[in-house]
Amino acid sequence: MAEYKVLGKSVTRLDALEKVTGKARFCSDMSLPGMLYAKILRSPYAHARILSINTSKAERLPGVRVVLTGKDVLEKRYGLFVFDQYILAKDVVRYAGEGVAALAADSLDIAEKAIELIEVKYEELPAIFDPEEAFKQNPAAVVHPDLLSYQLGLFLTPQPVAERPNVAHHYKIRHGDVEQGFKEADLVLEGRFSLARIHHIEAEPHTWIAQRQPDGGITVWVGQQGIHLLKQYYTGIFGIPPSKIKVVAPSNVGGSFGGKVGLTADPIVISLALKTDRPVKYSFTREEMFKCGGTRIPAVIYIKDGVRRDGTLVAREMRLLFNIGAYSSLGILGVRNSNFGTMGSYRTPNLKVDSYGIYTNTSSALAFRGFGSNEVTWAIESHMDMLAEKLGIDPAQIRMKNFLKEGEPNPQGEIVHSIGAEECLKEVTKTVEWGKTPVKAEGLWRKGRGLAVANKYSMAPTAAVALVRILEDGSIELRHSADEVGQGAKTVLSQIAAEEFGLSIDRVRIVAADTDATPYFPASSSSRTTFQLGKTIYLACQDAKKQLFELAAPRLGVLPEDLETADGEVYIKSSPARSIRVKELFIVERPTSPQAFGAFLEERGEIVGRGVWNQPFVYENLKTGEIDPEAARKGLRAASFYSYAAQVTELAVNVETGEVKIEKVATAGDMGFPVNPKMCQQQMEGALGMGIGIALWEEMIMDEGRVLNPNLRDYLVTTFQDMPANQNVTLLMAPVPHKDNPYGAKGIAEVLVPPIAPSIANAIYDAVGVRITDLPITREKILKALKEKKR
Amino acid sequence: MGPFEYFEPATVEEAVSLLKKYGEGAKILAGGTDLVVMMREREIKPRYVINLGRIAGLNYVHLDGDKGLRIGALTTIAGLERAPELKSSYRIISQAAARLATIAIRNMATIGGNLCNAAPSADMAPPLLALKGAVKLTGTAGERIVPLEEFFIGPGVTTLKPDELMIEIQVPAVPAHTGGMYLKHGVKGAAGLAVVGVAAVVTLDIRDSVFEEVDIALGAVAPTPIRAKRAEALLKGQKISDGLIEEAARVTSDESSPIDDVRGSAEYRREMVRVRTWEAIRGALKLAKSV
Amino acid sequence: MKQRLELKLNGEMREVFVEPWRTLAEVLRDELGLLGTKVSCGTGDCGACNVLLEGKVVSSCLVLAPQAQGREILTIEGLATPEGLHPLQEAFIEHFAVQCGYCIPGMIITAKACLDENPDATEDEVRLAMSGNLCRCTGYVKVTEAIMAAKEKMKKSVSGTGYGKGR
Ligand SMILES: Cc1cc2nc3c(=O)[nH]c(=O)nc-3n(C[C@H](O)[C@H](O)[C@H](O)COP(=O)(O)OP(=O)(O)OC[C@H]3O[C@@H](n4cnc5c(N)ncnc54)[C@H](O)[C@@H]3O)c2cc1C
Ligand code: FES
Ligand code: FES
Repeated sequence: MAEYKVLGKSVTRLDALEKVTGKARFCSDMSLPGMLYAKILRSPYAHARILSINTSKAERLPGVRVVLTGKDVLEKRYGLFVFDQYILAKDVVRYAGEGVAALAADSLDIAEKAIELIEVKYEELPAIFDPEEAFKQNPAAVVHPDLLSYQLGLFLTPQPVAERPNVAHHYKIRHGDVEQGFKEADLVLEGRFSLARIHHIEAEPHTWIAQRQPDGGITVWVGQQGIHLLKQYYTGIFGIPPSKIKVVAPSNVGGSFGGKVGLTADPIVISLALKTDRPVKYSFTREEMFKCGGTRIPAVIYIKDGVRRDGTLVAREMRLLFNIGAYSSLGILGVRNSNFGTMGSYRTPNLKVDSYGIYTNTSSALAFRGFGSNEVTWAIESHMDMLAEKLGIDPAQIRMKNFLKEGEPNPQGEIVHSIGAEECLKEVTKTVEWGKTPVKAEGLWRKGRGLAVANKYSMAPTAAVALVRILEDGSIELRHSADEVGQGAKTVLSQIAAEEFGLSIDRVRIVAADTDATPYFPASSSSRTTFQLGKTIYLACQDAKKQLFELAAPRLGVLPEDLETADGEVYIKSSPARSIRVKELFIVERPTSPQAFGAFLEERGEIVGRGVWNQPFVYENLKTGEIDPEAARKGLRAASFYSYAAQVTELAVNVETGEVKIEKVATAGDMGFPVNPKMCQQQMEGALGMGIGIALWEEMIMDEGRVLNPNLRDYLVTTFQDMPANQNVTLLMAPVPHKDNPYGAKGIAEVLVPPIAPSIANAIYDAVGVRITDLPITREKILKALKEKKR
Repeated sequence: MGPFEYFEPATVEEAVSLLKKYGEGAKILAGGTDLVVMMREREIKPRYVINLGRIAGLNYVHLDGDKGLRIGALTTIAGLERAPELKSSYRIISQAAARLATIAIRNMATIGGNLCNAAPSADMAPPLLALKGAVKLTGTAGERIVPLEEFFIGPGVTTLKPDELMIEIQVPAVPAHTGGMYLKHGVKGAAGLAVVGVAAVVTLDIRDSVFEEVDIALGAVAPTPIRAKRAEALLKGQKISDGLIEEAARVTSDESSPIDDVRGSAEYRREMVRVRTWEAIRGALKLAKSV
Repeated sequence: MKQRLELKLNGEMREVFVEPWRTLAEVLRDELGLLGTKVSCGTGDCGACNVLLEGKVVSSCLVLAPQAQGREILTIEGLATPEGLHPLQEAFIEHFAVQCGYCIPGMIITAKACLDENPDATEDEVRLAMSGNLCRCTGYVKVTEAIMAAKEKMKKSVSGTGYGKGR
């Protein structure tokens, strides 16, 4: 491995100082002169016809400036993949929490009061909540009766199913012949697994400020991810030309985990702002976060596996039923992308997957850390243990036996590269001495341990652009549109620029993400930032350095190729003592009026390096999920890359109460190359905190489509006390480099979540012999299963 | 939130006269940890808010030999958690206080607020019920003392009249060889509201190994915090045995009438009443033996 | 309806005029521009808005403005001194305890209250005292590490000076 000065080192986070002093600014901290405050009236019913809306009392309240209902917003529907949603409901509401009217007023007090003055009469309609009920050929309610006439987005080609009216998208994989495979198998096992509706619980509620511009355009400040994606969405929905839209993300976003990718209230806020000259601010309340701020996709998963006596997997069949909610939003993408999780870890000669996105009268799902992978991993990794037990094989062994190996085709036909599953599993099993049987406790608290492995794809198609400018003192200005949602993008990407220019990191300046100033990047989602923008910044640095060396070469009397730079100097590689300061290349002083004209370069004006990376990829065949073998041979892939993780969890279960104590955890992640090891650990511990809650208690409890626990009193997240003691948490690196990144780096944020729940479920089984297949594994479920087992 | 008119009476009398003047439209504010949440979520919209916080002399813990214990209604939960007076005979009170919410809430929340808010899950109620506590109320019609058992009427409903305040909590003296234990069972760990709360206070006849007196109270398993009287009767005067304690735990469970809600099913709650009652009685016994 | 409100805020007397139904969090953020205090839930459940009121940690989203009248308040902005950062702030940086940062001011304030009261707190005691401060980014591993490290530093430093002590 190359010797790096800044990369691979735990450089202090660039944003830490402002965050510990309270100086870091988020969108929710922003205000503009003359700003109005918005409120949205939301449907209390899951499915209802709007008979009438009377806004006159609200309009008459002094200080109310704009009031909108479904009649006042754009005529057409919008969507990301299926155009199925109006900005505000017209005639029909399809989930409890859907926007029915919106207003903006001089103060939040006035807005809150006014919203209560709007009178809406509804007629309730039959509603449907359960994805399996909704999946039926003759469901009790149809969420979008006109679905087949809806306009579809261009990407992903959603495939509705004519005879199943609530299916928005059916995606399939047909690899080999599963029936034949099951015949050849010594053991065939079937199971059903499910995952509750859970929420991201981003610390900062979503916030927008939108302001109409004198030229008819609009500027939107967002506490969200993906300014360039949002700009595209806004352009598409409102028909405002790209030259008149500007989207800005204040330099910090208070958490996302997928919940701030895509659209939620954006179109409503913009619609309000387009009706007034004053800026309009809107923030979700915590309650709204739960009711309409996106959720993880609840899912039901059927799995059928055929294995040989020695544990070799010969066939796997899965049916994935995703409850995408009333509007398809990003759910369609989850339906497709979940399939990567079925293919990324194990050699599966025969694989059949049917994945369905099903409409119900519930709020829309969004992406969620481990998008698609969480769901299939929960089923697969539980099932691997069940198979191992039936075959009398060690759970680690059965996995080792089936891992994909570098250079093999996966079920999709992609020639796999940088597969860290085995490395991760080896790391964790070594650390916990997996081979040794741990002491089993008697009495109330029984001990057990379990493991699980996961993969997480990163999406393709994907592309990125970055710019690097050399300043007159030799320091570097970086322009890119990564989102800083806490994951540390600023620090990691600056480390790369610092490395390439041989500078200390404090000499790298970052321009805040702004569609007017920073170039294209979809979003810091799908674990892509380090891999992709990292590469792009590397390329931009090379470009800038090339230009720099071209300028410096004549001064030093050598060729550009002979030069390198460090510490603000350009030097000759073979004799580093001969050098020129970058500063000297700039004209900063004129004899007549020193510094009066600023700094510039005589020949080029300035040096701006450009880096562009367009991930080569190939689309899969929609009938089989497979990619063209010819393209595969050329090295084209359907996913950008795969990251891996493994976890061993040791825990104790109380047989009288069903309580679970997580006692010890070892987690390993394959991030290709840890650009900043401590920050990789941050992701690991963060995933652990999140994953324990998701495994054991997190659930949005629903009744007739209404969230019964839309607050942090009753929707519990992991606290300091739910974590094992620090000495019992081991975070391990198992990097397997990727050839498409100059440093071998991939992403790590997401893949760490999916193995946690199955490793806990497997450990609970080990401890008390009950297998919980329905997340979360609450105390109640464990106790009930224990009782049933006794009978 | 708001709008409302805000008052800071300096005396109890002043507070009572404000209550009389503004009637149902007025709300008492103590620590605000229940009230402010309700106002913020617009569940209630009082037009007058009367903050008791500046009334001197309502924040105290007095231990008075054979007369028992008196606690000022404005004493914070954190104050109870730390009070030296509550480290021996009345330990169960500080123990329950330590399990109520988290430190930032305990620093504001008051015992009067916890009882007057009358949540079925209120953590301070079971120990005080098991200690046979009473509350002192004062209003235009004067003062009255109500046994805590009679104070709670339903979820959020008490015998407090609109013009009445709670000013004190009274607990009778505790005989020798008495131990008490409060156990809070949550959805997870300690955090969150109780799925089940069990308080057991046991007085022991050391010579004969007999339960001289037993009081069991439950939270979160009925419309109000309740006493488990049949179980108490079952144990009282009986020789201590594991079998008997198990039986009492079962009876306690039968006496509970929980519902299904977001925190747990009725069935699970009943089961946890049994498990935690068993534990609480045994814990209380152990303490009773040691004092 | 606005009333005069006087606060001893981060060691300085401040005066504002606000309606009585404003929360302390709103006063700090909207009236006084101290945006370091965050509001994440507004219902006392997360600790993001925690400040010290007369030296005790409280959730400022549940404190009505007039309840703070005349009282001492310490927010994240008042923690560092001209001589430098508070040991907790330093430790949070050094130990990588910070991710998105939205919970961090409340964390540091609560940790200060915890260590002020219990300068020898064990890891378990720290975890208990901090259990009302939710963080979705970290798993509390490095935050706990940072608090334990700050504890050692604070014990070594001369007590009673700097670091917002006695404010
Ligand atoms: C995050 C959070 C977590 C919580 N966790 C718990 C928990 O684990 N267990 C638990 O039991 N509770 C919990 N609570 C609820 C609450 O903190 C307690 O009930 C607290 O003791 C209420 O006291 P207070 O002084 O804040 O009451 P306030 O909110 O001031 O008042 C509550 C009610 O009582 C009335 N009232 C108050 N004092 C008097 C009086 N002296 N006379 C007449 N009426 C009065 C008020 O008008 C109001 O209706 C929690 C609250 C929050 C915000
Ligand atoms: S914002 Fe105050 S506790 Fe969450
Ligand atoms: S750092 Fe993001 S919530 Fe704590």
